[in-house]
Amino acid sequence: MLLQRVKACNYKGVAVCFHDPEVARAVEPQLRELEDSFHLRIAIRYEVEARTRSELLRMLRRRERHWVVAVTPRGLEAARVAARDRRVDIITIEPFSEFIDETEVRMAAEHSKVFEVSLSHLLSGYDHLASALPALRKRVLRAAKRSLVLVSSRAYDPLQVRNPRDLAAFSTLLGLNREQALDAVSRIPESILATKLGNLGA
Amino acid sequence: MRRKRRYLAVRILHEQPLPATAIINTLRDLIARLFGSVTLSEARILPLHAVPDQSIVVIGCDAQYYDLVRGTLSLIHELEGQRVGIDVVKASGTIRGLRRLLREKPWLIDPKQYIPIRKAVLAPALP
Repeated sequence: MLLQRVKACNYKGVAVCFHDPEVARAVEPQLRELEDSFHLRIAIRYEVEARTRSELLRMLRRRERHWVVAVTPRGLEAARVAARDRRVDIITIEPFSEFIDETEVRMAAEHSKVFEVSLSHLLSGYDHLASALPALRKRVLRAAKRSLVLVSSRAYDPLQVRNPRDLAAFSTLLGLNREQALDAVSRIPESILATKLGNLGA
Repeated sequence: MRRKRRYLAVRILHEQPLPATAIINTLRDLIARLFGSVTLSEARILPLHAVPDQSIVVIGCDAQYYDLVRGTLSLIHELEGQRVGIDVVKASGTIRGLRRLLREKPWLIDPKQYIPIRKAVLAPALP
């Protein structure tokens, strides 16, 4: 269902999230089959949530080279390590994350990390939106000054998937200009997928 | 000087019948809440028509506020207590242009299918 909706929205590629590397390894052959049947490029996205340096490094050791590694820092130490570690591709920005400060953005920019904003963070009730949107905007503006920002649906069910143009329009609410907004849903994720699926020989 | 408009055809994915006015009310409420009532009045949200069978609603807005309206539409995830998905399927600078786009595949909407939003109850549409 989810992939059908993604395909209907005219996406060319998608990253499927896994928190457990063993599950990702087990499911990978099926994903390759789906890739052929849906004519979509499917990458595995390894979601890492860590508070400390040791916790993050332990989790990163379990990844595969061709997976997209996205880190949601839950502590300052993990945030700083994520910004430096070459195995990390994406650092997730959450509306009230305390760790996306100037230092984090500078370090991430020096190590070519991409920041990611997900629409699903804002799809949990309208009362929450009025405070979450300005908070997210503040962090995105800070990140966009030096680094690249990508925007995703991060959908867990088909109703949360938005088409790329809608996501680009949403990006403009976060303070990105039109060009940055279009890159955030096209060029930046495409280049990450190309790099990672290139490692797989796809 | 006359201000330009943009017209959007919005498809609502939902499981139970839904009055078409719900999306207009929620959109207005969200814009007012997130950007203020001045922005809401300047965005000139205009409810136009609905195609209940295909769960499509046609909305007009000020061209300068097109991204803001479309971005806010993408934040809508619940209407009248039911979870929904929102898709802007077409956008145009004229109503005639939008209707022309919607006459083509996959929509194939006949002009007779358009009814005023206030009277429309949208049929369930699943992703």
